[in-house]
Amino acid sequence: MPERWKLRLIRHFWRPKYFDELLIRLERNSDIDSVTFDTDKKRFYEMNKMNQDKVVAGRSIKEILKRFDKKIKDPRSFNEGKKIVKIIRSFLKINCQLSKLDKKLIDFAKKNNLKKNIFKEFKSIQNLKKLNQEITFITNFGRDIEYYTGVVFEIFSGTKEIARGGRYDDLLKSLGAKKNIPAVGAAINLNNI
Amino acid sequence: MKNLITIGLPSKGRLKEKAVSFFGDRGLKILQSDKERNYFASIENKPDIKIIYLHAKEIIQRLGDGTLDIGISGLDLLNESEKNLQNKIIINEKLDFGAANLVVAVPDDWIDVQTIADLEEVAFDIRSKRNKRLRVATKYPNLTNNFLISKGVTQHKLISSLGATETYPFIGSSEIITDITSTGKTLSDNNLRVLKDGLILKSQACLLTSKKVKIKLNSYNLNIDKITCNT
Repeated sequence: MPERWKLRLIRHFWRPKYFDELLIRLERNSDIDSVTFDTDKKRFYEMNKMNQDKVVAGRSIKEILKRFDKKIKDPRSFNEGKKIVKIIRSFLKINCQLSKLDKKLIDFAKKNNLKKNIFKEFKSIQNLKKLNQEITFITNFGRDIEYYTGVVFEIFSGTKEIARGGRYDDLLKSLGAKKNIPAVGAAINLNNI
Repeated sequence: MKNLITIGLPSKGRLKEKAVSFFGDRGLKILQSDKERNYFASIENKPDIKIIYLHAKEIIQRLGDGTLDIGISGLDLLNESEKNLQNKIIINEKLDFGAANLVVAVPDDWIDVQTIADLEEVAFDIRSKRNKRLRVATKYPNLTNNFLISKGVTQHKLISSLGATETYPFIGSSEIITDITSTGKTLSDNNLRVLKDGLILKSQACLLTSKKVKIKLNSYNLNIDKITCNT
């Protein structure tokens, strides 16, 4: 899959509706039509001779030309879209007890001819088994909030929700911190305690 | 007068001329005041109708609060207004003048940005490399925001503009703009280019009525067609 498609899917994973639109585009291979670069290519050669540090609306000529060059070389269409979308959609249907997750992921990888270690990052979640509580794992859960970068969870006591939260490694930087500070947090619903 | 109908028309430019002609073509001759800059007018042989010349944006506001019963203004201004204001106004007819497009435009030299998908990538790039959001100068913050979000350009910041929006990318106030254009000449004269899929709204002049007027016209056994068509 072209790099830009991978990044696009990662960027919009938290927006289920738009993510679905992207999947449809990927499935039908109806990404933006191939752009005719001829006119801009002429400008590209002209701009190559310009001062590369000159800034146009916040972007340097160097930066613009680099991206233009990369874009020309990046394939605008590819044939694997349908297959990839099918895999993503079936992955988003995983909903099982944590105790059964290992087997479920192995079966999933096998069925879709994926590498055996593709879910290696999911290993740490298995530690939750030590809690000896009833834990359900849902791949499609908690996708509406942009700032989460990892696991998102809800904790119930019976049918009452008592806490919800998740991991947000980039949140503090976007709020002004100088670097990313990995963090996990949750809000406790005092009314239900 | 109890059953006075108040009509708001644009106060200047081609929109004013076309709106006056629109009524003239339907046999409703607008009589201007003797004083050149007076904002009030009337219609020949229609003592129950009062014309007020207002800014096109003001017409939407006054239809919303019921000060005006009928008005002519742009679809762009109506769609840009608050949702609860829009809910108080009915589009009676889309008219064949005042056509203009609200579009997304980028500097000519951004040759790598041809589509909204490109813009989305650049916006995320600016965000991750500089921890800043792509700034979009506009007179239409609501329409622009809705459009960009729907196309996945979530990493942007709106910069309110009151005019000469085309200058913003070149004076450091924004990176790109959205603006209304009919021929595209002002954009191209200012080294800006419309994105291939950057059409936000196809606008045109509209005959609008306040929802309140419907009740008023009904109670006097009048309807908008009787006023505007005069048949």
